[in-house]
Amino acid sequence: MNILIGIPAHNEEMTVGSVIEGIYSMVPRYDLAVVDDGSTDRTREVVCNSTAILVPLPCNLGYSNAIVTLLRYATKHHYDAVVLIDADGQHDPACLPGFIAGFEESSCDVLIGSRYLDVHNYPGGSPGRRIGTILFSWLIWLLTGKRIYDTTSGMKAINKKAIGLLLEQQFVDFHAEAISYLLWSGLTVAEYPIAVRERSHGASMYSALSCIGYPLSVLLMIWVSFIESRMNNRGAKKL
Amino acid sequence: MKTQGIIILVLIGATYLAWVVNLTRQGKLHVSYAVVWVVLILLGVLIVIVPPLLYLMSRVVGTVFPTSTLSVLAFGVLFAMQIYLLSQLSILSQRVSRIAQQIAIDKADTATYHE
Repeated sequence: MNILIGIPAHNEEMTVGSVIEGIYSMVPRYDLAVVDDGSTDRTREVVCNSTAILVPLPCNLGYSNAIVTLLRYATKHHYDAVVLIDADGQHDPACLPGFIAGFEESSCDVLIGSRYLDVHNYPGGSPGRRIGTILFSWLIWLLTGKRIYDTTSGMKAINKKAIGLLLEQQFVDFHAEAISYLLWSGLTVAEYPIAVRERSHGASMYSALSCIGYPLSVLLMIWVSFIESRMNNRGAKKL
Repeated sequence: MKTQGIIILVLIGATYLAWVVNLTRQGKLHVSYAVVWVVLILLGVLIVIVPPLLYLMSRVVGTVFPTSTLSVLAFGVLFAMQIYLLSQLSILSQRVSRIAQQIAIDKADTATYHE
């Protein structure tokens, strides 16, 4: 399978270099692209000094647009799948060989690297995020009948079919709302246990204020995704 | 409504109309938005200068005073305009994002090609 490993990065000069090195040491045969989301620090320079492909956004567009850029890049270059991994060093590149092998062996369209399949893997995380993840996990289960434990994971493997669907619709951060949309559209989503470390440098993209705005945005987009997927399915049946 | 009030509202309408036309002439207001504002201003002036129309509107809206009708209509129109403008802003924002993404992908391809 022709896979692109993609990293969305914004102001991650302290960690992105070691993440790139880690990925190359674990899975050297895959292409690696880093989308620099308008960083104001040395992130772009660090990526330039590596052998990774730099996709430099001219300004900060946000996490979801950085992901969309990666998906568009993968589509343009006919990759069969994209594996997303965070630039903050929280995802251990040592998980990648198993994760990619699991994705290639399974028939699922999207594989999510889950820190909650084996809770002992996750050393911390804010209680707010943990509660939010549990609530969205229940919500997805209620609405789609499928239990996804880690709805906010940044580590995902997405195949061509899912990429096409994800590029048709706008999403908040490709979390619960994107998972629901894919499930309602008839795609298969599965989880794979991964180890997640605490962030060593930089700050999370979620501020205290976004603790209110984020869940509301995701809830609205779940509703929109439901309508959109129903309309798509109806259109497909008519054809 | 008193004649004085009608004159003031008509003058305000005329000022807005001149402003909108001037902005359009200078290319600072897109013609599609200008049309919306010109229609709204003309409708507003029409309601003000034809009292039976305003009384009829008051009966339809269910307000006691004609001036309250104007306030209710203004609130409704401004609320709709806010949603319309935010929608236009979102469309433009998406276009900017799409262009920025394309620039980034093209830059990546150019750099890879030169290597």
